[in-house]
Amino acid sequence: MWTTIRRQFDKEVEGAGLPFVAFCIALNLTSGQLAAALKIPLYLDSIGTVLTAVLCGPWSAIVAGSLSNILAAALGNPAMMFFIPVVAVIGAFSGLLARKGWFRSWYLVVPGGILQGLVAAVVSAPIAAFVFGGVMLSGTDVLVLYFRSVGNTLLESVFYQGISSDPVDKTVTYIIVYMLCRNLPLRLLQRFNGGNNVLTPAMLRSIHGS
Amino acid sequence: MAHSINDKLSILIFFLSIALAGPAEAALISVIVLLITRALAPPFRPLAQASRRRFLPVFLSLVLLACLMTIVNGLLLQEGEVFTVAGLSLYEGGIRFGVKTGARLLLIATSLLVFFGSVTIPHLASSLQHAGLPTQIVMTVLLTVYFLETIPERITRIFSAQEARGAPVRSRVDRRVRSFLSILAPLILSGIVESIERGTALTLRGYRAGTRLEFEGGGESRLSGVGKLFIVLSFFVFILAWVLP
Repeated sequence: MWTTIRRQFDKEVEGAGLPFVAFCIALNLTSGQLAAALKIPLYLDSIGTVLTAVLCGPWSAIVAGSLSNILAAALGNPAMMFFIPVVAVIGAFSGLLARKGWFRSWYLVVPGGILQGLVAAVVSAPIAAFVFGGVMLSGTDVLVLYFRSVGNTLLESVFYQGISSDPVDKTVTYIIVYMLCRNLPLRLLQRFNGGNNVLTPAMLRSIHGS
Repeated sequence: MAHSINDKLSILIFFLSIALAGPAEAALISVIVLLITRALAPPFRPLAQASRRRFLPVFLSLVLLACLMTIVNGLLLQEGEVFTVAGLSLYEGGIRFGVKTGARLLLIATSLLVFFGSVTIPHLASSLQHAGLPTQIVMTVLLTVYFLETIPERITRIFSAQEARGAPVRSRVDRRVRSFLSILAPLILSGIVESIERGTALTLRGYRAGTRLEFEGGGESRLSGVGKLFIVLSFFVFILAWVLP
């Protein structure tokens, strides 16, 4: 099984894939700062992971997400280390959706983002509750406090906070990645293993000239 | 004292095992031990100026987080006796849970900060390769470090250029999201072009999946007696936590 995974990962990062995964990890680590500079009330810190999932594949997205969090821990945010399972799931899920063609049309991207947000909330809730006691020193702590004050348990409160904020964040992330990929020149898209994930049948026909 | 990265890793595993399986008191004592070790033992001192500068603010913000955890849980987890502190009614059960969670977080975070601050990237990459991690992962880490140095500067340049062109960077939220996209698009395009160039350069130099790399300053990566002792102690912590009530 390990050999199969490794072979699949090798195929995904062939040629430009490997430096692109590294670029996306760096993007994950800096896009959150950019969102903060523009005062956008969203995390937007998984754009690189989703972009890798679409243009390379799910295994490289899992690697990109996990390495992003390990490097974030090394660069002064140790809390990120605990959320490696969350980013791994985000990478795998968005990679699978991309393979199924969900990034070819906007009406599939929006429900995909909402689903992704729900999945992320389910995976992150136990970590946020049991490791951090529900307090992450972010704006969403107010929601945790609200849900606890109305009688929910810690895990329930963190989960409700997750499902009320994560789907919005992930839907915006999905829309941004969709718009970026749709506007990339075909010759660049074709350099990646997952380039076909965003090509519509009409675009493919124009490439093959039939 | 431990010099090789694997010895440092085994010490990190030992502190992580205390954080996960030990009581809050042991976690807090371990944090103090780590701080003293970092200050007095040269192999654990931060190597880069940036990590030296960043340590104190990050550590203090973690202490603040741990205190907030204790207060919030003391307010919300209504179990046991009630204490009134500065007009706040805090419950004993909540405070206990908050202190335990906060101490655990503080120890995990401090040990990670000390470990990552005292190892160089070539050492880490070399050790990852010796540990059997695929070369592609090691290459990815090294390339990420390169991109991390260049991306913030690129963002600043694109941000200034788009602002000068009239992008609404200080307008309503929906417009700011649109200007986020107008900054991200050229950034990603430049990243893709550079990735293609680097990918071609790697292929032309004979790099392919599975090629082993040699790192300058890779250093010693064997586990010494000290490292082995800390691994045994880590197992001992878990056994103690399992045996003791």
